[in-house]
Amino acid sequence: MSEKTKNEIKSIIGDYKYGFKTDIESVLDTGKGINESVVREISKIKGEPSWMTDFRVKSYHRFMDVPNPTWGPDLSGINFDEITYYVKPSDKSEDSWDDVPEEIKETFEKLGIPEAEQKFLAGVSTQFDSEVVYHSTLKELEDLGVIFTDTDTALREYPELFKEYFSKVVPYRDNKYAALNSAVWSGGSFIYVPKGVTVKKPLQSYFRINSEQMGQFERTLIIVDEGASLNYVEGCTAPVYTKASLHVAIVEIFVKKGGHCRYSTVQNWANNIINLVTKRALVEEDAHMEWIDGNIGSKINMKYPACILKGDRAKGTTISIAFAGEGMYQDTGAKMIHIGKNTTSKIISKSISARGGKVNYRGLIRHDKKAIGAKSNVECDTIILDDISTSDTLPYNIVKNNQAQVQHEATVSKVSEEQLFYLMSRGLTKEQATEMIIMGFIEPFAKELPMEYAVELNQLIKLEMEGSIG
Amino acid sequence: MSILLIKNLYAEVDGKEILKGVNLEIKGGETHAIMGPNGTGKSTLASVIMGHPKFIITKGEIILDGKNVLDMAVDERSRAGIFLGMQNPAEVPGVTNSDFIKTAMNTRSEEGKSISLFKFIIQYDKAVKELKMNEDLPHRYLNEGFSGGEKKRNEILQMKMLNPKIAILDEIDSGLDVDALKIVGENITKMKSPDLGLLLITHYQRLLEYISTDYVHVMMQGRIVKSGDQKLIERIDQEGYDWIKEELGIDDERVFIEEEEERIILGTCATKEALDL
Amino acid sequence: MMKYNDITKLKKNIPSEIRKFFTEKLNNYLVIIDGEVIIKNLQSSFEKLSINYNNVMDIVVPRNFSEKETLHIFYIQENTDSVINTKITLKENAELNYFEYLFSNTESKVDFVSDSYISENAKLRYSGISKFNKNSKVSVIRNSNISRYGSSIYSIAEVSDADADLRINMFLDGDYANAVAKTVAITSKKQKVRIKQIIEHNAPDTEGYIENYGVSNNDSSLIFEGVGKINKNMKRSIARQQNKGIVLGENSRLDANPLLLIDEYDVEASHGAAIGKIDEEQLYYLMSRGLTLKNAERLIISGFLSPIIKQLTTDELIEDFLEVVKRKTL
Repeated sequence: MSEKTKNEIKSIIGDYKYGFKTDIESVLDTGKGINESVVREISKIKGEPSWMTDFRVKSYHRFMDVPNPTWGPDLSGINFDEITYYVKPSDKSEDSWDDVPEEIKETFEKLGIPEAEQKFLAGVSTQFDSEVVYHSTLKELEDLGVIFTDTDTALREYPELFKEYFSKVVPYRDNKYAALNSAVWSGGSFIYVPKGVTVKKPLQSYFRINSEQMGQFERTLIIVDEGASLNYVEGCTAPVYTKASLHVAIVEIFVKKGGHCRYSTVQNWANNIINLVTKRALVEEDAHMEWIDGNIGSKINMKYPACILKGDRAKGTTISIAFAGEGMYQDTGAKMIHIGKNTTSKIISKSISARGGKVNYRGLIRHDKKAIGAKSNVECDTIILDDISTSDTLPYNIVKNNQAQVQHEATVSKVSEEQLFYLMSRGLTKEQATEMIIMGFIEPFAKELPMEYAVELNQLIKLEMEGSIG
Repeated sequence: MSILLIKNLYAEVDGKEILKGVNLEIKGGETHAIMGPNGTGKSTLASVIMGHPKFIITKGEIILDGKNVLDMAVDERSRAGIFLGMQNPAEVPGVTNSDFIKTAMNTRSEEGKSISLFKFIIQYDKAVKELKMNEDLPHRYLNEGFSGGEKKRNEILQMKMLNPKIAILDEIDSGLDVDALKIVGENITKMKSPDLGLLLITHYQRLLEYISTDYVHVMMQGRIVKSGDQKLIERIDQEGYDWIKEELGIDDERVFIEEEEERIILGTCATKEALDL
Repeated sequence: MMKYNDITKLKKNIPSEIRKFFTEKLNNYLVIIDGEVIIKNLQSSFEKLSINYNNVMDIVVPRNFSEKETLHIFYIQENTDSVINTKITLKENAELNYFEYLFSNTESKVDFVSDSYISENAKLRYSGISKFNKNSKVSVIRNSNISRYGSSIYSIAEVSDADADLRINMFLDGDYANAVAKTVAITSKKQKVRIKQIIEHNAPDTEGYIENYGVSNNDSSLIFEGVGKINKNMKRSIARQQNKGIVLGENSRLDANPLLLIDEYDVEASHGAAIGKIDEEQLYYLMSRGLTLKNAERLIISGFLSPIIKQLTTDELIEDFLEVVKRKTL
């Protein structure tokens, strides 16, 4: 990298903690741009069955037919011809950390993955560009029948299970970017937790975009069978390039009768990444789905984790934070679709904008005709830190039966002067006081995270807040 | 020994003048009390000394040990040794009491030398016990959901931990029942030393039964109109303030009238409205 | 001055639904049928106002005018499709209580536009009821432009049987101006009603409050969309919004979309929405005192809708309103 480029990067991103790039030779890529033969090529390289090839092709055409959404951030700047849709960095997924190529290993070591795994995580799956390179699951989980693998392997090894659920809650026609992901998806995690099995320790996966102008299109599919329980943690980082990269993912989750699934994300993309993710869970009778969703970084982020509360007494929870700093546009929120009787949902959203960032809450609560006795509770609060930052709150509450209860509360404000005065009157500097108030503000989110992530989150937010208090 | 000097202080809020020439000197080891009816500027004086951004100083000086306090930001005043126990402390959700007070204490120690966790816990536990507060206090969020009495005790607890040179306690007695008042009074008395100058602001006499005072001042119309000793308290206790007003020819002792207009509160409960009909 | 009992001699017949209002208890009113002023009954204090009607109802309230009584205007549409325009101008420091009753009993298309201009330190209390025939197609737009220290309070009840599109657009153009947009609406049968209010802050230190109370019954649908918009540099402004909805029918729909668009950081903004069934505790309480379920429900609903009842000046108007509430919530 030339000095000029380096400076350019620095001027765009500041000191992004994970902004190091690893120089490795890709084994194979499909070149820039997308067309039907690129899509077929991806399928061919992966040796997929013909139904998947057909699915990809049909999704590709859908993607081409559908325009960008007319609401939210402007996506017209994405140049689909400049993006490489498939890059394969090494020949096969490794089973032992020692077999992973040195450069990739270094990258992950910088991210602290192996230690994290040793200390605390039950299984780690890491994705480098398009393919999952390293993967391990504790043996005890395997013995219980838990499947934790990358999505491509799942298609090969568990074809029936895969086909039963794949694309069933996020159809390829859902939106333009769901169609794009369906056409070119690669990698991601596949988890199956059998009936009655409780996975005690969190499973973790770490995604990382390395190649410049590289789109990452992973696809995650999780099935928590009846009475089972899973706690899954996903983290994202990307090194920094001068041209924007695209991340378009799909997460599909099925929580069967009486099951429980918690999906935690702390997303920390560099702020030239455009992140467009469709996350949706189908929640059956007496089951509980929780989305814990942290959004820091990225140039544009559009993400609205959804729960379809299909079974009676199904429960959905979304707790999220979004932080938009300089040059960032966070358009995030949550959706709760109540179909079953006596279903309940809760949304807690905390947003912060600083240094010219824009942070929006966009949410939907819908109580369908048959969702008798359903209840929803929404709290969303926003703090705008300075006079160049903005925020919109856009909640939609739709009730179609007469036995519903929907509560929605939202506030937007700057940091309270009374709180600042109080903390400063005990000797804290304005920076310390503001930081403390912000940390307190996001505490309802942070306390839901595993310790390591909470600590990481605090550091990330502190980093983002530097220079935003004057 | 510290000296806080207030000279001919004038201050206003939203264009309304509230302090109109306050003069006061507090030395280490002394206990002063400012009394007076509501709306005479007592709390404003406390907030102005601490540096609340709402107030604008139009004239006068505040000097602490030769240094100009008015030049200092709120946090600098705190680190210089001024403490204000507030009448209505802010609630800060999500921030625990112990995290907060530890951070506040660390701002006082030299760079890189933070207080040891062990020492902090011992000190904090001791203070919690002395104030007869609940053991879960360190883990609760700062003032959130606290009763009036708990908030006041929490202020005194912070004062104990921060060890100020000049402490101003603004109506620390309001909202306290007799038992709590006794605990707070005893704790304040125990903190008395030649290194601590105390200023108590109150309009009741009962707090002063637990804390002996050296000087008593009466505030009216935004300035101190009368000073004295313990005897002045006794006379106010028996006769109220009217004799002072008469003596000084003051008609209305207040500097500002409480704003009476209150906007209709949104979200009034449909229940109440239904039953109102 | 025309007396109420002269009504019988009028050249146009006043529909009986409206006629009942004109008792001696009602003061200061104009009745307009199909664009023609039929009655003008004003006390002397209102003679200082300039009220001209020539396609557009043009009301100018002079400087320093202040009157506790309310000016009532009844717009009745019988035969023609029509465009009704109202313009209310309050000069500096003036104050006006204004009430309008919009009525149609035939199938027609209604386009109603009203504009108000609130000068410095003036205050307008604007209330209105609309009760259109079920075959009408209704569009009502009310705009209010508020100068510094001005105050504009709109309380609107939408109890038509028609499909309706209602808008209130309020512009806080001067500092310390404040605006309140309060709407009460009941929908029944197959009605579709959409109500959109926008309060835009174009000056610092302004305050905007949106309050909505809605009941949807039968197969109807009622949609509230409130927008609080604080533009850049409009410091220390306050935007608040509250929505409350009761869904009565099994097939009814009620949406509340309270939006906040904030481009300035030194502000206070909040919104809330609560949609649901009638509170069971309240029902239980009233029924324990002997009320039937229906009566208890109706009482709770009228309580819920009380923000508008407070604005009505005579018992006849209140009774008329409660009668509609009763009919539409059966």
